[in-house]
Amino acid sequence: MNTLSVRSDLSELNKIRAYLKRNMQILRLSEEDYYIIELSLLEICINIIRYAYPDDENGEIFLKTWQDNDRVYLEIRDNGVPFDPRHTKKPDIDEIMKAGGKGGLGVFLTRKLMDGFKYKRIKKQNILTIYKILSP
Amino acid sequence: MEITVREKDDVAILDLKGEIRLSEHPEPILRDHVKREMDKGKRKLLLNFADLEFIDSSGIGELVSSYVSVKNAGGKLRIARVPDKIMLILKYTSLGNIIEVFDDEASALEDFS
Repeated sequence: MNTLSVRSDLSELNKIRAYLKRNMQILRLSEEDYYIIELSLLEICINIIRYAYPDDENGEIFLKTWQDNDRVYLEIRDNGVPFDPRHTKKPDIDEIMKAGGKGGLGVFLTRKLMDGFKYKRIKKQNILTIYKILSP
Repeated sequence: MEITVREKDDVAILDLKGEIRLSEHPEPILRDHVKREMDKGKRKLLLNFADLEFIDSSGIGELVSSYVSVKNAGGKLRIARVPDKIMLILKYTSLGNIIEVFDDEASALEDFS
């Protein structure tokens, strides 16, 4: 298993991308699978960066990735405010249009694009585990 | 992301290359280009996605915002040549049902006329 800890800050997104690229290289993923995995990981991290640590500038994000047969797993942890992403409702595209393009699409997209999406809160940590079944 | 603009009759064609994603220093580049074309009086805009490699939810937001501003000005915005992986995002966000998407540039241009 490979892990990474980063500050909960937009300036860390490139580190997260590099970490993913490093760990996925060996798997020779299809372009579409890689896109889905990268997009999902970044959307979840961006959500944490925006909302998990409203009063803490030193918040962190902890990442772990591993493979099991045809599945690639990503675990994303944070110590921020409790947030269960399974309960976010489907964004209404008409509402997003009215708001000029703003609205919570990221978590919704991740739920749709990944094949598995599990959340638990343990010892004041949000722990989200997502996986993608790789294309044959 | 790089955007180059071509013209075909009264249609402004924006060729998008690279990535539309959130970063530490977000640049609303698509929206700016669309606004610039509208300021020039263009009301028919075609976005060519053939070389678009990545779009995230922030990029989708830019796309929606661009579409709304063109529509509110009485214009039309269409998309052509969407790679399969990007099409997935348009499908799951239902945006593909709102903004008309064409397989190729010629069909999109024909639809404008």
